[in-house]
Amino acid sequence: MKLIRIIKCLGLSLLSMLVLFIGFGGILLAADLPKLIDKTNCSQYKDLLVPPLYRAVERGAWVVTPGTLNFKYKHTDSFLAASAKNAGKYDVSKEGDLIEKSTGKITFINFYGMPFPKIDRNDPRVADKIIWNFNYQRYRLTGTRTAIHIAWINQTGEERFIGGLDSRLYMMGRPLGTEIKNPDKVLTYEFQNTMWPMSVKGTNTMSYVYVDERDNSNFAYVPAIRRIRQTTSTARSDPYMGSDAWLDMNYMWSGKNRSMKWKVVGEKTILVSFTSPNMIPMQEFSDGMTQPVYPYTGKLIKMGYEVPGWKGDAWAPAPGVITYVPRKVWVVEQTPKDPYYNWGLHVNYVDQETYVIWYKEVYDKSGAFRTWVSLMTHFSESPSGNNNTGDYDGQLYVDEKSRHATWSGRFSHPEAYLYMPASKISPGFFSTNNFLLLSK
Amino acid sequence: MRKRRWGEAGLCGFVMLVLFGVFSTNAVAEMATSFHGFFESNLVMRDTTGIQYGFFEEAEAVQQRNILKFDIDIEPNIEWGPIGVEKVHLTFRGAYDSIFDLRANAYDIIDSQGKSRFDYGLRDIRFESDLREAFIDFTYKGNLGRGFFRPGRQIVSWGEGLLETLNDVINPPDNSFNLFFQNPDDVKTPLWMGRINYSMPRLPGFGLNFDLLWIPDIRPTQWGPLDGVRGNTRAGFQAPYVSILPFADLKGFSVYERVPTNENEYGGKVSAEIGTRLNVSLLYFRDVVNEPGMLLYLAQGRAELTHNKQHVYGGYFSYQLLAGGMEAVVRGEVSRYTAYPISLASPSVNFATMVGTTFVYKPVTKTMLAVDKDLRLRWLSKDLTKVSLEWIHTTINEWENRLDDVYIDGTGRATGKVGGVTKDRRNIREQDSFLLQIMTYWWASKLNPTLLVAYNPGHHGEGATFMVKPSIKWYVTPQFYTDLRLQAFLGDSQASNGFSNGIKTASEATLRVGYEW
Repeated sequence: MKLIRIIKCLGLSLLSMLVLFIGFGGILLAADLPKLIDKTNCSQYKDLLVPPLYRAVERGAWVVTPGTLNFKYKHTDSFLAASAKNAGKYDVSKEGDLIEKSTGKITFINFYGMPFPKIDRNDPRVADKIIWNFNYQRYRLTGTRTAIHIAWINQTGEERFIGGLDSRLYMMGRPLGTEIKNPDKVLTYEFQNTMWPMSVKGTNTMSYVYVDERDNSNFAYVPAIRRIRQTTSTARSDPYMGSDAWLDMNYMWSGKNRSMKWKVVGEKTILVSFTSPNMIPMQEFSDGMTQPVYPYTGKLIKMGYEVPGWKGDAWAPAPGVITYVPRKVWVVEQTPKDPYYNWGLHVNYVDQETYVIWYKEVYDKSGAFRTWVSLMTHFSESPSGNNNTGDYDGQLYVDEKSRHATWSGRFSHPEAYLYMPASKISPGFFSTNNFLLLSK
Repeated sequence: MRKRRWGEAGLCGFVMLVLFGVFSTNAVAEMATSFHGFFESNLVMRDTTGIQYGFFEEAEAVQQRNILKFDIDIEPNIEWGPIGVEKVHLTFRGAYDSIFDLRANAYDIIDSQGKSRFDYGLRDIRFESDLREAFIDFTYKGNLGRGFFRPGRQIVSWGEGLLETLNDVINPPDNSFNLFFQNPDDVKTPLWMGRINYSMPRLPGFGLNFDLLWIPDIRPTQWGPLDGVRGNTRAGFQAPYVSILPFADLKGFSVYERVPTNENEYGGKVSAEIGTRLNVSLLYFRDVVNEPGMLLYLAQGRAELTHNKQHVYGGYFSYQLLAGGMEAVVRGEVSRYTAYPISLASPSVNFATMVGTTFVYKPVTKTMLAVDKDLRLRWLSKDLTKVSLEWIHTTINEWENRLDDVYIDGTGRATGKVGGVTKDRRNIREQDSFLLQIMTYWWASKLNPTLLVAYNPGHHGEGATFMVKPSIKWYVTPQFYTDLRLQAFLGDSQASNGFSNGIKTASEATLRVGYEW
C-alpha cells in the first residue's frame, strides 16, 4: 500500500509537472533562468536573446533581468473565439492583400478577430498570414489615442524630445455592431499631433491607409506657414523629425502589408520585455472605452543614463526595470518592394500566441545591419475583461551604426484611451477641418 | 500705437477673465490645459557694405532682441449635443530689443512715438507686449460633417507658396523688426476676425472643405518708424529695418499711414480632396491691400501711404506624383489681383493740387509651380533631404510704359540709373523668380541645417540678384538651443529689380540662443 501511495504521489507530481510544463511552459523556463544575464554568462543564453540584444549584453552594454509574470499575456477569450470563426474564410492574394476565399477579392467588409486562427508553417503564404493576424489583433482596439513622448538619446543621455497625442482609427477588425461607414475603403486613419516643445508644436501629420492597392494619402501641417501640405509616402520610411524612428514602425509595423515581401525563416523562444511583472488594472468607461495606465511615473521608463555609475549604453533600460520572459516567436523577414523605401531587410520576431512583434532588426539598403527595435509593454485588464495586449509602453530604436537611440513611448495622460467608440473617434476626426482645428 | 497694443492686451485679458469665469464652474475640473513657449535672445550683425564686397569687413549690431513667446491652450470639454467648445487658444509675445540702449547714440534720434495708429515709433520696436492670438473654437461634430467657428485674433494662411505671396494676403507682414524671409509665422500680424471652417462628410474619393473669413480688423503691412521730418532731408528713417528700405528716399517728407479702418475684408475658399492624391482649392478674397501706394503732398511736405481695396481671385493645388517610380509632390498656385499698386518709374505730379502720385493700380497675375521631393543624398545626410523648388511668374496685366523708364547706356546696357539718379522702382511686365529650399538633419537631428536661395534673373541686360540664407540650429540640450543664420544678398547691385536694394545694406548674420518647453 505504501508503495502504491508513493507511486500515486510520484505520478501526481509528474502529472502536475507535465501540466505545468504544457500550460505554463514559459514560467517554467523563466524559473530556470538566472536573475541576471550579463556579459559573464550570456553565452549560455545566446539562443534566448535576439542577435543585437545578445551583442549588446556580450559587450557589457545591456543587462537582462529574467523574471516571471503574475498574469497570462493573452488575448481575450471572446477575441480568440471570434478569430476561430474566421478559419477558412480568408486568404492572401499574390500581391499580399487580404482576400475573401470565396470570391478571391479584397475584403472590404468588416470582420472581427484574426483572419487566420490556424497557422500552418508549410503554407506558402504563412508569413503574410502571420502579419495579417498581427494587424487584426491590433485593430480590435477600434480607436486609440495615446500620449507620446519621443526622446532622442545619445551616449550620455536624452538630447532632445518631442511629445503629443497619437490618434488612430481602425476601420476593419471592429467588433460586430461597431462598424463605421467606410466609403473610402480606409483600413486605418492616423494622426500625430505634436504638442511640445514650442519649436515643433503643431508639426502634425495625418495619413489614410487604404484597404486596397492605393498608396497612402499623407498630409503634414507646417506651423511656420500655417498650412496643410501633401507629402509623399516615402516620408513614412523617412526618419521622423531626424530621429531613429519612422512612421511605418509605429506598433513595430504600420505600413501596407502589400508593400513588402514576407517570409518565415524560423521559430524560436526568445526573452521579451515587460515593464511590469504584475497586471495593472485599467479604468473602463460605460461606453467600453478604457484609459491606459503605465507602470512608471514620468514619461518613459528609467534608462541606463539615469543610473549612477552605469557603464553600459545610455539607452539601455536601467537594470531591473524590465522583466524579461520567454515567449515563442515566428521569425519573419520583410523586404520592401519599393526601391525608394529607405530601408532594406527587416527581421521580425512575432509572438506565436498574440502576434505581437517583440523585436525588429532592420538592415539598410546595402544589406548592412543598422537598427534594432525593441517593444516593451505591460499587461492591463479592464473590469469587463478587455486588455491592452498588442499595445505597448515604448519602442526603443537603437541605431548601432551611429550609436544612437530613440525612445518612442506612451505615458499616462487624461486624454489617452483605448477601445474608443465611434462616438469618440470617427472618420470626421481625420477631416481637413479637424486637422486645421487641432493644428493651429 | 503703443496705447492701442496695450488696449488690445487689456481687452484680451478681459476676455480671458470672462472665459475663465464661464469655464470655472462645473467643467473646470475636466479642463485640459497646455502651456508651451520659449525664451530667446539674439544678436544681429549687419554687413554695412555688402557681403560680396568683403565678408563682414564693416559690420554693426542692429538688433539684440529678447523674446518671450508662449501658447496657452485650454480644452474646456464642453458639449451640447453636436455643438461644443473645443479649445481656447492664447499666444503671447513680449520682446525687448536692447540694441536701442546698447547703441543709444545710433538710435536715439528715432521718434519715440508714431504719428498715427499704424505709424510706429521707437517704443514700438524697442518693446513688444502683444497677445498675438486669442480665440475660441466652437465646434460642430454631427451627421452633417464637422465644422468650427473661430472668433478672435488669429492668423490664417491660404495658398501653396513658401515665400512669395500669391493668395496669402490675409494677415499683413510686420517688417518693423525683421524682413520678409524670417519665420513667416513670426512676421505676420494677427488680425481680429471670425472664421468658419466646415468639412462635409466624405463621399467615396471626394471630400469638400469650406473656409469663410470676415475681418473687421484692417491693418497694413507694418513698417518700422518712418519718422521723416518735413523739409529736413537728413533726418529720420534711421531705424534698423527702415534704413535699408526704399523709404529712406522720402527724407524731407513727413510720412503717414492712411488705412481705411472702416472697411471690412472677407473671403471664402473651397477645397476639394479628389481621389487620394489631388487637392484643389478655389478662393475669393475682398482685400484691403497690405502694401501701400504712396501719395506725395508736395505743398505740405507730406507723404501718405494709402491702401485701396481690390478683389483677389485664386486657386491652388497639390498632387502626389507617383509616375515612373518617382515620388514627389507637385504644387501650383495662381492669384489674380484686380487693383494692385504698381510704382511708377517717376511720380506723376498734378501741378494744380501739387499732389504727386507714385503708383497706379493695375491688375496683376501671379502663378507658381513647385515640386517637393525627398532625396537620399547620403553624402549629405543619413536622413532624407527635403528639397523644394518653386518658380513664380508675375505679370502686370495692363502695361503702360510709364511703369518702366528704361535707360540704355552707351554700351547698350539698361542701367538702374538715369542721369545719376537711382531708378529702383522700375517694373518688369513679365517677371520670374525662383526659390530653392533644402532641409535635412545631421548628428541625429541635433543639427538642423537649412538653405534657402531666392533668385531673380536680370532683365534689360542687368545682372541677376540672389538672396542666400543658410542656417543651422543646434539642440545643445533637450530644451536649450542655439542657431546661426546668415542672409546674404548678392548679385548686380545696380539692377532695378529683385534683391538689389539689399545687396549693399541688408546682409546679416544672426546668432540666437533659446530655451523652449
